[in-house]
Amino acid sequence: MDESRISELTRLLSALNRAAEALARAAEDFPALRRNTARVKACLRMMELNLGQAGAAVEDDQGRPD
Amino acid sequence: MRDSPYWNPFLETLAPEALRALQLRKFKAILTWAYQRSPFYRDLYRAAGLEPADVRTLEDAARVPKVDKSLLRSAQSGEPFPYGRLLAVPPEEVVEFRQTSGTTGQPVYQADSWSDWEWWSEAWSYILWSQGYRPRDRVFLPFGYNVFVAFWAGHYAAEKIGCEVVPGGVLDTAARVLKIREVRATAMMGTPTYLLNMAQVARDRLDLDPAGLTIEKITCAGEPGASIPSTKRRLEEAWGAKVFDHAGATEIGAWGFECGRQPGGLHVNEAFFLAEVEDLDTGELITGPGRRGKLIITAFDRLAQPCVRFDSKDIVEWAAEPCPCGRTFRLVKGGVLGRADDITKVKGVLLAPSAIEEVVRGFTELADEYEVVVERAGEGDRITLKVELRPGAEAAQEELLARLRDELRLKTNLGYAIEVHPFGALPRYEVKARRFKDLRSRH
Repeated sequence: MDESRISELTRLLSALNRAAEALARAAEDFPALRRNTARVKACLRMMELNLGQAGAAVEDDQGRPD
Repeated sequence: MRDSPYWNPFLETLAPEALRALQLRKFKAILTWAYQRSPFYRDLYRAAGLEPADVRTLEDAARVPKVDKSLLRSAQSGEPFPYGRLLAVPPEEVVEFRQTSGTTGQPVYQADSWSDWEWWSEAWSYILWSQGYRPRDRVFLPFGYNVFVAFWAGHYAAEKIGCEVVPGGVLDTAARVLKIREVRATAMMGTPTYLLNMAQVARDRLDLDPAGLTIEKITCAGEPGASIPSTKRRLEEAWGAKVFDHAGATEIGAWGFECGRQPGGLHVNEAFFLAEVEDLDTGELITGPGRRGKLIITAFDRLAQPCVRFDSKDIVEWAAEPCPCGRTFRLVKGGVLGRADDITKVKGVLLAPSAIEEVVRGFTELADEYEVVVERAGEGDRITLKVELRPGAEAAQEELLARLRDELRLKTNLGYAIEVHPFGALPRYEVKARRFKDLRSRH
């Protein structure tokens, strides 16, 4: 699979991640959204792993439930 | 939509040098995570004088202290309960509890965050997709959903792939067979022992040929049987299905899988795990084919309770040739060949229980169950093999036993006392069988 395709997929995934982050921040007092966002972030992390992104484990936000 | 043969067409075909570079980055990341977040790992590494930055190459990984089941168990005696100093996330981030079976002592408790639980099913998705599971499949799971991880992740991976999942939890064996027939399930998962037992129940109690049902593929786990040719053959004939092996453990995750090409070995999911093979006597790393060793394994992406350089005790050997499926994930030849703690000396000879299974299951006149008992007899050892004849095989018993003795001597270099038991007399197992009984320490 060529690098440009992986780069494009990574770019799209980053946009999703930013949206999930924004949603999580905006929904801090809204459990139904906050907890479902946590699950979305776990799925996003799987996509990062599948695109060969390493090092995410040492960052603060792991898509874990908050 | 074009159907890819790979769950991940990028990582599963990555060039070996790129795969090694990815593994190094991921190993450094999980090592740093474990060091920073888990008091157990931090103390372990500090005691060894190791900082995560000391690891600069994959070869350096061998300098990182190993852990094993007993070490993990002892680390769990303190707070926070019940995971102790192993835990690398705040306890409120743990969403799943599982535990090991405890057959070798106190069980290890396994904490998983939501991210870890997704990761479990992701690793299983690589397995199932490679074995031909697709959204059109209806997957039956004949296992007791409980504290053991067993096929839980297989369930969620099948869902993730888009299969329809039928949980066969509290049904008895006959009811499970009938449910497979009723819903026309196309795939299922189980231990080799239990699936052979299910087939027997179908024939004996339901007068039903399991090969005539709709099962097309079976994924096995929990025992090495599906990689033992004679056991795999029995399963495939009994169910009229392709049978695939997979390997994993509660503390580690699902690290290995047999792909649809059935190459006579298991792929290591090298995007998710670092597999090192170590000489049993010297500890030297084995990087090529031709020598068996012990598997030391790291899960790169498991966060709540990291698993870094875990001594799995599994005996494996790297395959010489790549798999024709096109995956660049390396193969271990013949799957898990035994357990370092199962291989025992009998009459001065090293004996792996899987070698006995390969012989016994190769005799079609013998039923699926058998048992091996090793005892002290005077100054030496006595090894007794208990077998059952299939109905109708009694007439040729003496000739059969002579052939069995010869084959056992040829394959294991040992002589056996053979006991023939009535069909159905030996224990049947629901999950993992315990057929090898070493009673010598009791004398």
